[in-house]
Amino acid sequence: MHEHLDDEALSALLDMGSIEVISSCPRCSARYRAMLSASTTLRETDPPHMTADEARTLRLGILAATARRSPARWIAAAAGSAAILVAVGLYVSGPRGRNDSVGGPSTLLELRAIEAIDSDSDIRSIVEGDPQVKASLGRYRVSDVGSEKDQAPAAQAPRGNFDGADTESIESCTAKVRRTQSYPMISALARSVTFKTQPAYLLVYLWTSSTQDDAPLDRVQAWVVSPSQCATLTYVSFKPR
Amino acid sequence: MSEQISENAEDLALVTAFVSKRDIDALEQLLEKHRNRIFTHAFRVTRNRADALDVTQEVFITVYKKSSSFRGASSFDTWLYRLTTNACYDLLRKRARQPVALAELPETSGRVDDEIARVDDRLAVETALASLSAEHRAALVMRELEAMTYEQISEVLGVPVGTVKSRIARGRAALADSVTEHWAPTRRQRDE
Repeated sequence: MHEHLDDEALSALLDMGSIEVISSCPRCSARYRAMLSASTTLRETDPPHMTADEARTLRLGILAATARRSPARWIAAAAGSAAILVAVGLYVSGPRGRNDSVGGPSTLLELRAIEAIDSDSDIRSIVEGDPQVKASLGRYRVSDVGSEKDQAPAAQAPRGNFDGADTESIESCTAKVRRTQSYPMISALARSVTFKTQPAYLLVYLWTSSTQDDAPLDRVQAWVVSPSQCATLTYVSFKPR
Repeated sequence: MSEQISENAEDLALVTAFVSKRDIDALEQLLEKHRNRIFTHAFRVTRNRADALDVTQEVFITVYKKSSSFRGASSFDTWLYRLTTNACYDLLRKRARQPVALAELPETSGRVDDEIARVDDRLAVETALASLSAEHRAALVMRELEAMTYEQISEVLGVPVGTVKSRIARGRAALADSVTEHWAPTRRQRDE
């Protein structure tokens, strides 16, 4: 009685490129040919290439994730944090703070509203906890970019410009960063924050690497930039939970 | 063997320069040398471009953090493949989802009917590949698309050669099934 070869034996023959031994058995031969055809078809698919934008994103991501702080900087940051908190408190309370009772709950609320970012995970927490971003995720598609719908909530009402001789507005930084990217993306959040105790803007965009019109913008790119010339301080790209 | 040692030494020197001196040129050289291979492998396992980019970034960050744990017992390339495959597994596990079939097929040329049939075949194979478990897909991809030996794959995956052979055979069988199933209705349609 003739015994047919199992898939593992046929796979081994495929590695050897040898069909002669099974040419007498139509069933084994057909199975071998199906395996060979699938293997050939699989090899025909072109390997994906990383685009220049993706390479840049990768480089920035690695640099941001591997940024280190020396002990001296930690000490300096710790020593400076109290002063910065006072400054931030003065900044965020503004005219409204002066109308409220001094040191009252509203100041604390505002202090909480201006988040401190020390690491990439802080950015993730802010973005994933923001109802505005949550509501926008999956709501916009590639075809919305540049259209009337492309007026994401945060872009309409960015929060908190820093004053200063060489500072740029949060709107200006939002537009500048966006211009540097060729992917379809829209602004989802623009907010004043502190980055390692320094004033900064957090700029969040929804994007996708797909160029198909109906592809949803379901990923996030977030920049933390300095108000001075919108220089990038850190950058992360991720898919929110 | 001496070539591998010298390659390892060169890669480790670049990693050390980046880790200890924050030498950006060293990072650029490492990226230039390895990013495409890592990205391609990650893409083939995750079947998703954005995920592949995330994995590539994760691998370089792991190299940065764990460079001291690389002892040179295997080649630097093997270590990178291992980190990449594990990062893909982690990501897919976290997402708790099967990857989608590849949508990015190369542009076609030539006779339309033949091209359509070829694209159909590719889609069937891609769908079958996507439906494999990450472990089977990783082994098959390394063998079929990255031309690695069973021994190299075994080293990367940390499983015996016999397990690698079995995973690849099962993967090939699944792909063969998809092709056979795809051919049957097509042939019926042609005969009608």
